[in-house]
Amino acid sequence: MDKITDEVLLDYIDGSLIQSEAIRIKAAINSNPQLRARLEELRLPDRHLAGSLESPSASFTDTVWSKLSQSKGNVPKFSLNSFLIVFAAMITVVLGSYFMTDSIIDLDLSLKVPNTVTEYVEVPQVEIPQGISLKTVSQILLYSLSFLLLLILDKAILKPYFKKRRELLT
Amino acid sequence: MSHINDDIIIDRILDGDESQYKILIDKYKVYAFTLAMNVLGNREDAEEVAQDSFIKAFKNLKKFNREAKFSTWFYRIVTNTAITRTRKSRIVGEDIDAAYAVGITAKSELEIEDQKTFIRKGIALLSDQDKLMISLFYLKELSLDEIAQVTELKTNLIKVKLHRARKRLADHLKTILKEEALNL
Repeated sequence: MDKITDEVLLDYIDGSLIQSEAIRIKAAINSNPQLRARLEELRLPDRHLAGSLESPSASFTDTVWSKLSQSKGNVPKFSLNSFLIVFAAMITVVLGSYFMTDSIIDLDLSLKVPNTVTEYVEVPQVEIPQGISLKTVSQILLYSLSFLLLLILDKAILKPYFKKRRELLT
Repeated sequence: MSHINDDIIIDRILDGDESQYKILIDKYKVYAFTLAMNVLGNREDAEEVAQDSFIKAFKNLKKFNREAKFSTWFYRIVTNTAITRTRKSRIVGEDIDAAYAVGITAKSELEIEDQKTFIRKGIALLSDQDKLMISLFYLKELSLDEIAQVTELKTNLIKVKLHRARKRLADHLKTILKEEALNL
C-alpha cells in the first residue's frame, strides 16, 4: 500500500481524489489515529479560512470614489489633439519664416557707385568686404528658434505632464 | 454570469458612465481587502492597498484586454500592490510580521478561544508567496488556472506551491496552538 502523504491528505480534503482512492484514504484514517490527527491539522486552515472574508470600512467605496475624483482633477488636461495643434503652429511659424527670409533677406551690401558719378569724381579704390550673407544669419536664428521651441515644449509642458502622471501611477 | 456582467459594466464605464465603477468596487471590495489583509496583516495598510488597487484598475481599464476575467486581472493588481507595499515597508525597517504578531498576541489574550486569531498569526509567519497562495486559494473565487494567471506562475507549479503553503500553515498552527496550550 502506498504511503499516505500530506499531499494526498490535502487532495482528500479538497475532494479531488478518485472515488476508489478516497475510500482507501478514509479507511486508513479511521484505522490510524496519527493519520487522523494530521488530517485534522491540515483541515484547520480550511475550517477557518475557506470563504472567510474580511470586510473593509463602511466608507470604502466613497473613499475610493473621492480619491479617483481628486486624481482626475490632478491630471493635466492636455489632449493629444491640442498638443498636435500647438506643435503644428510652431512648425508653421518656423517654416514660414524660413521661406520668407529666403526671398526677402537676400541683400547685397557691396558698395555700388553709379557710372555718372565716376565720370566726374575720382572714386578712391577702396577694398570693400563682400556682402554679409544675411540668409545664413537668418537660418542660424531660425534653427536657434526651433531649438528654443522644443526646449520650451519639453520644460513647460511635457516634463510637468509626465512627472504628474508618474506620481499618480506610483 | 458575473463575468458577463463585469464586461457590460466595463463597457458602460468606457463609454463614459464612470459612476458604474462603483458597482465593481462594491462587488470586489471584500475580496480585495481580504487578499490585501492576508498579505499585509494589518487593516490600515490593507484598506489603503485595496483602495489604491481600485484606482489603478480604473486608470488602466482601457488596457484590460478581456482575455481573462476582470476579477483575475484585478486580483493581480491587488497582489502586486500588496507585495510592493510589504517590500517598501521592509525597506523603511518595519517588520510587518512581527508588528502583526504583537497585535495578534495582545488580541489573543482577550479572545484566546478564537481560533481564527491563531490562523491569522500563522499566516503572518508565512513567506509573501505562501501568503499569496493561501489568500487566493481560500477566497474560493478562482480556479488553479486563474491563480496561475494572477501569480504569473505556471499552472503545474501552482498545485505544488499551494500544497507546500498549506502544509507550512498547518505546521505553524500546530506550533502556535501548542505554545498557547502551554501558556494556559
